[in-house]
Amino acid sequence: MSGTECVELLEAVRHFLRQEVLPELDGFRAYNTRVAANALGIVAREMQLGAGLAEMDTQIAAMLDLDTQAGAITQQIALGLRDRTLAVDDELLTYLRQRTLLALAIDNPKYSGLTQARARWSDSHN
Amino acid sequence: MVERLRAALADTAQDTTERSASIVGLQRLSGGANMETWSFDLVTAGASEPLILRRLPGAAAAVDTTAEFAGGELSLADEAELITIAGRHGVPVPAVRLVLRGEHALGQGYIMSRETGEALPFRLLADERYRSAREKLAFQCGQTLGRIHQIPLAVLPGGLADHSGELLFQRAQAFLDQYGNVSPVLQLGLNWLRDNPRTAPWRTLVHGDFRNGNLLVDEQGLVAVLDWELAHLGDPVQDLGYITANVWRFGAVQPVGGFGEYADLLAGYASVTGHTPAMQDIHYWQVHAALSWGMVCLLMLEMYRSGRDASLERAAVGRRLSEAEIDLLVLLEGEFA
Repeated sequence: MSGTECVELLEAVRHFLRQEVLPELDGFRAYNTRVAANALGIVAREMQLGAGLAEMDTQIAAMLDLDTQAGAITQQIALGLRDRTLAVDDELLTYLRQRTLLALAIDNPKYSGLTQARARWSDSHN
Repeated sequence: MVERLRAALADTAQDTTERSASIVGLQRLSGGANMETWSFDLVTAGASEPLILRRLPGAAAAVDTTAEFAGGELSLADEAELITIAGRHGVPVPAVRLVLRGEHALGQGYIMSRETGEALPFRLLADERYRSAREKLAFQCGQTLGRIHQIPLAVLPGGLADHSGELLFQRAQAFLDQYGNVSPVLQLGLNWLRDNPRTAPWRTLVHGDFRNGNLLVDEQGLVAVLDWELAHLGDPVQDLGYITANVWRFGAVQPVGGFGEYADLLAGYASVTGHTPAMQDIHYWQVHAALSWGMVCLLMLEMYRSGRDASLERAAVGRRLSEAEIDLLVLLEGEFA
């Protein structure tokens, strides 16, 4: 432990931008300040949840017999789908759904599609 | 710039009063790295005319950022011509005032009327003053799309790209390859579109970006359809899938732009065309709309990384890829069983 955690620092800067900087601005700079505060939120969430994405990739790589040294797993799957060498089965769809749910929980947890998707997929898998 | 603008407009003036008009309140509104949109008033002794200038300054590449992947390489002169033609066919649009020529020294572009209304989606969806406009807007969107799709192909500008059939998907695949095949979900969506082609598509003018955010609305409803730069030839149902895509509902529940119901959109469309597109076909083009949004996110990311437009906004939009991915997965549920 070395004092304030990174996630706490991010949260403090985010709070500063929203509560102290934003009220002083308008127009395009106010908009950009909101975008900036939002971006810090993404970083904080990825620090907390991001390891889950890598775990999912490692698991699917083992199931599909992909080489984890041969480039990003997501890219290998995208190319396998493009070249039709990879079957679109329940295993793959479950991976894509769960991975996208987690990515969106990091990127934009307020997105309307996330609630819809969670309601559909959270019970049957995981 | 004020002087060149004044001179360009004085050229078209009918009398000396107009020729002595001045440019007031010139300000840049928005736009990408290349394309510029400016607002100003042309003021004479008796009157003030609110105007908009859209232009590509200097020798900037004649391709807008979002137009790049969509293949909408419509020149600004063609865009201006298209808006004028659409207006003649009953589509509410701004009035094109002047198409810029070389001697105006303002680059490529055109000047059009600045109509009064609201285009910001969140205001349109939330503000009480637009309540009655929201109630009729889906029907009006249907009517307007019907009119756009009924414009005879023979009167359209020659520069419109043809995206009918396989062409659209070949371009999308080339795009995904060019941007590193980073998303299995976008690839899955594209595969599904190619594997399930529509059986009897028609070919018409397609607006290509007809959505909440590009519609100018006042208390009475639709005032003008904006942003024609992605217009092309293709399947007209594409526009109906686009206006109902989840990402363009801005978090609201109602399927048509967040403000209206399918039944009203389709009733408006049928009132003009006599034809009601099937929900299955609208679903097909919703998949395409989600894929398109994902490709825009990839394009924004590339613009940031390459330094072409290293702005915070570009970097942030690049992170919205997962929105497009979740929409695709929800839309495609049950399609691979």
